[in-house]
Amino acid sequence: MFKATRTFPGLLLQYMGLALLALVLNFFLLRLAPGSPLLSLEQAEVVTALSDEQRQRLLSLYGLDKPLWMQFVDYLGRLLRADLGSSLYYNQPVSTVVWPYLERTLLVVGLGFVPAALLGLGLGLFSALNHRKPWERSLLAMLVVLQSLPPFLIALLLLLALAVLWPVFPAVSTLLPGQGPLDRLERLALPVLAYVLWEVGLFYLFARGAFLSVLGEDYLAYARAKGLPESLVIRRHLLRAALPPLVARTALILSASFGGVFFIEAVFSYPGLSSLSLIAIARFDYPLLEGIFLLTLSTILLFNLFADWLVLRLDPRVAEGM
Amino acid sequence: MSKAAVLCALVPLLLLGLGLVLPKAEAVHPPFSPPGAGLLLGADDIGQDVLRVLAHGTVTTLGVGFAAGVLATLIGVLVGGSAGYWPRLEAPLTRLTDLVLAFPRLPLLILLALYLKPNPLNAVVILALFGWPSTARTLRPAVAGLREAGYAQVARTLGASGLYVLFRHVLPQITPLLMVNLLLEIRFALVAQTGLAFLGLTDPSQPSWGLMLFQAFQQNQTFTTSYWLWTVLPPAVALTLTVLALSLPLLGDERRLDPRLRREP
Repeated sequence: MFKATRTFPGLLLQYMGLALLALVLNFFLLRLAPGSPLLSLEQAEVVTALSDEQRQRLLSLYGLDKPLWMQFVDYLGRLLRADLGSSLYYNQPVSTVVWPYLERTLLVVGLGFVPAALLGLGLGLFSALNHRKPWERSLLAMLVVLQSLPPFLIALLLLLALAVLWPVFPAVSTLLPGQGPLDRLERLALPVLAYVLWEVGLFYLFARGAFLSVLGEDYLAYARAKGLPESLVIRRHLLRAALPPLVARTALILSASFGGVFFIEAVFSYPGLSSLSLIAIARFDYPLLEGIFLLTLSTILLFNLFADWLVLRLDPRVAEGM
Repeated sequence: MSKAAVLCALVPLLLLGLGLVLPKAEAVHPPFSPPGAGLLLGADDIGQDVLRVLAHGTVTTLGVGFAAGVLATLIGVLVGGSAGYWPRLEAPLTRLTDLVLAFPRLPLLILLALYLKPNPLNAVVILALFGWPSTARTLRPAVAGLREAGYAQVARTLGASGLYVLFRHVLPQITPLLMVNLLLEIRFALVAQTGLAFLGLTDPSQPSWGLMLFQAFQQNQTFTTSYWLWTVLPPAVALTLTVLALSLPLLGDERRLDPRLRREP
């Protein structure tokens, strides 16, 4: 029988490898991509025609004239000093540019995650306790369908329903300079709602499965047989056994959801990380793009590591390789 | 449930047929014309017949989704099947699968798309490279459970090679599981392709549902006038129906609903 080596040092090693791979891909893929940062300067007609000498000076200013591997070494050195470089387009340090956008993305995730998780876990428990009733089948079918829709489609359908056909919310969630999303709650509503609808099905399926598998255990039948009231059976036996692994997996869902938020934001033109990266892509702003992807990737990897560690701690079956 | 799935599949399949028959859309109509006689779905911002764009987009979208899904399933079968059948390969292949599965695939997909501006062909390859681990992960235990089955042992005793036993005796036993995985892989590829196109990260000369949505979102009057009715709604409805057609057959199989096997973006 295959023995999984699921230990914390093993996990850490695996994630360090992944992080290094991410760094390398992040750096080289962008450098090998067609286009150049000078191209966008020329297109912007700030500089209509650069002389060869000016071009050279600009390139060496940003260190773009060195061979690729030396640029990579420079890059690693800067990362060690926690310096993400400065954006070519905004002419400001990358961290200064990225921070407000990252904040707004985290706001959507934060506001959407808790209701989605609570609703999903609640519905899952309810569904498991009423297993095999006809309406439970319909609830299951509904949430399976919802869960199968990609995030940008959910966002798009919401946009069509609640901003175009029945315009209760603005279709576009852009913000004026100096405005925070909390000043314009109606612009935050649709992205958050889309996030909740997209995630709730996944939480529900996880929870329903976990509760159902515990409900099938003999010790639950025993607890009922010895005459414990149903509420105590649920609280002491069902929740205590099913919740810890569920909580751990919730962390996994959270980290996976960063990808979906990207699309939801794009549908509503919400000024989060996705709109910033689309700007950076259009301008060939390498340092900015690298900063965005580095932050996104490391956030996701850290969350994954945390979630895997939680699973290990809370669900001994995983550690035993079952 | 499968009746409903067939019903949902009718629309995309009809569009696919149209796409294979109709000539390519040309910019010959007045831009932004609403639907009317001869122009069932109106015209877009450069005066192309939206129905033709939609039909040709269906060919790309379904084609990429289907091809990438099949390729991903094949890789998954090879990796997961080998890991399950040969005990010596189990540890390294499982580790490889977990590694790819643990990598945040969406940011990486975007990075790759940025680099390649995928035409349909390399989109298929990229999406397949991201899709296979979930199939490999489901198949390994299923194959491992069957490798010591009586008929497999008999076949080996008669001198059959490992590959022969795997493909001739073991895999046919888990055909339903394979089919379900194929649907999931196609769904993933199709959705990911549409998402990337929606962000404007695919080849702009290849019409697809995602690209249609991207282009409609570029226009200022899309949602302030009724322009969205014939440019946003048709691809959105086609995508919804396709996703439903690919998801509804899964409802019957409750085991597949366990999301622990997947890490979805």
